Amino acid sequence: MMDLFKELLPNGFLFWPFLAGLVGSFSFGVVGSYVYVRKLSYVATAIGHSSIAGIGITYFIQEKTGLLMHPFVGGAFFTILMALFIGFCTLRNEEKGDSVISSTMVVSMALGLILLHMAQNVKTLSTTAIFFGDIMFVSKEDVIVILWVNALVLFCGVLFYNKLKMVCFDEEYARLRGVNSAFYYYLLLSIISLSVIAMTIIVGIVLVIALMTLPAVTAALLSKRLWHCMVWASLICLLSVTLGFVCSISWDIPTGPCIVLISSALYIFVHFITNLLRKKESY
Amino acid sequence: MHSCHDHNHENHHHHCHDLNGPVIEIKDMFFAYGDKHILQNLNLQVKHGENICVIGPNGGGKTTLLKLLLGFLRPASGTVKIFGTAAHHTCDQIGYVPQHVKLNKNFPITVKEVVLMGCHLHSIFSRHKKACHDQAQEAMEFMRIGDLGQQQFNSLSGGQRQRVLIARAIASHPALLLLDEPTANVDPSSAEDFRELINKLKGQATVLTVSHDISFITGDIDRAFVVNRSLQDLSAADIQEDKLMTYYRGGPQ
Repeated sequence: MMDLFKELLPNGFLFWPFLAGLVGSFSFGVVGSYVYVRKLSYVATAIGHSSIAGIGITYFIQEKTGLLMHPFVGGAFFTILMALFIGFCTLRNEEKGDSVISSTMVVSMALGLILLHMAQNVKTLSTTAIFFGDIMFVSKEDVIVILWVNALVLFCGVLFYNKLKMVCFDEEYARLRGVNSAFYYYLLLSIISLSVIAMTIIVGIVLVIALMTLPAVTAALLSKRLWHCMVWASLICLLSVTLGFVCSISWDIPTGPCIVLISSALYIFVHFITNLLRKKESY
Repeated sequence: MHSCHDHNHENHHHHCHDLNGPVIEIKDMFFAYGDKHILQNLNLQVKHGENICVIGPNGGGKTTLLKLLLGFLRPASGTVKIFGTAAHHTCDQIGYVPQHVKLNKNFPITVKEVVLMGCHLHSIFSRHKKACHDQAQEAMEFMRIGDLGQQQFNSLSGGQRQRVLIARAIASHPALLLLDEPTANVDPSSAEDFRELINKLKGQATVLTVSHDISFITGDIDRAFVVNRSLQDLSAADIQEDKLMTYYRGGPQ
């Protein structure tokens, strides 16, 4: 058993995917908190599913033109375009936004699946791996890309903290104060896209949103301020990833679902404890 | 609190142009959502320092009027000017108090942080300067929530939340204060308090309150209007509750 855990350390065969998960936790903590407070989890889900089209387009271009592009880099680019489209539609028409989001999500998944099928020769990720994640596919090269993507996400998320907080809390007031709330909305959707792409390979598109929102929801129970929530969410995400890998190795079960189940267990645990403490206080 | 002019000078704000002319000037203004006419032929002029109340039934166009003043909506025809400038050119002399129920209740944020949003963000890093903290504290003390700074916004009662939002609006000493239903979802004693506090701002800021709460119109109000598609001026004699009720219900127009 101990031999298996050694695989998580440098030189182990699970080191790179584990590192990718750990690195991704920080951007998930930050972005997930924004998603939670701005109530964007549905939009984030749509963006996550749209990334299939993003990755599909990248492979398709590679197949047709021979242009070598890392699937995450191309995927991120096209997913951001999708996200901006969703953002544009929701800002233009709030009432119809809901159905626009659903249709964009489904249409881009359909498109992605066809493109992935047409790019059989060049694709390095299987369709199942994209959907459900597959840590066996993670290479050192991928981790480097993930590292850069995360650095960019954290940079934006932290640099624009005060303005994003203002826009998320009270969009009208932010507009009145001269903050370009549409710009920050698009920025938020873009960093959601980037962080989703970076984590997709570990937990898969279907589960990625759970890992983005669950730690943030849990963290909010423990936080008085948004940045506290981000720090807690990152730590909870980190813990979920670590425990998820450990459980997955110990019992030989899929890693992605393991991570997501653990993060939901942590939510239930924290919810229970904070409720208990609150009751005690009120007595 | 100091006047708009002092403040303008101090912080080098540039958006406000004419601070001596009328604060609000609406001329022959029409507004419609599609073919649905919401406001028709509105004319209104508000002078500096006036305390104005706009009442009206739900669906009469109160919120729309407020959004036009804030520059979030643009008139179909006619003009809406704040300090002589079209309303959609954001003017940082406006303080705005939304209804607290519109905000996300699960947002982890402290009272002080909310009030700080009322101060101007200058740099791209948008750190708050010490002057901002002082302004925020001053506004909180004015609203009698000076000791709640570190409390969580969502742990407060409706009345206290509304106090926080008013503090945010007055933190930057705006020359024009717009309040949207300040007494809605607020306990009666707080509502009474708000009226008193808003009256204290008299002479420093022009105040426009939109409300469906008729009791908001008291002797301290300079002028009152009923908005129901069009705008109706209420003379001093009309500012009595029984007469107001008839206007409110869409009465003599």
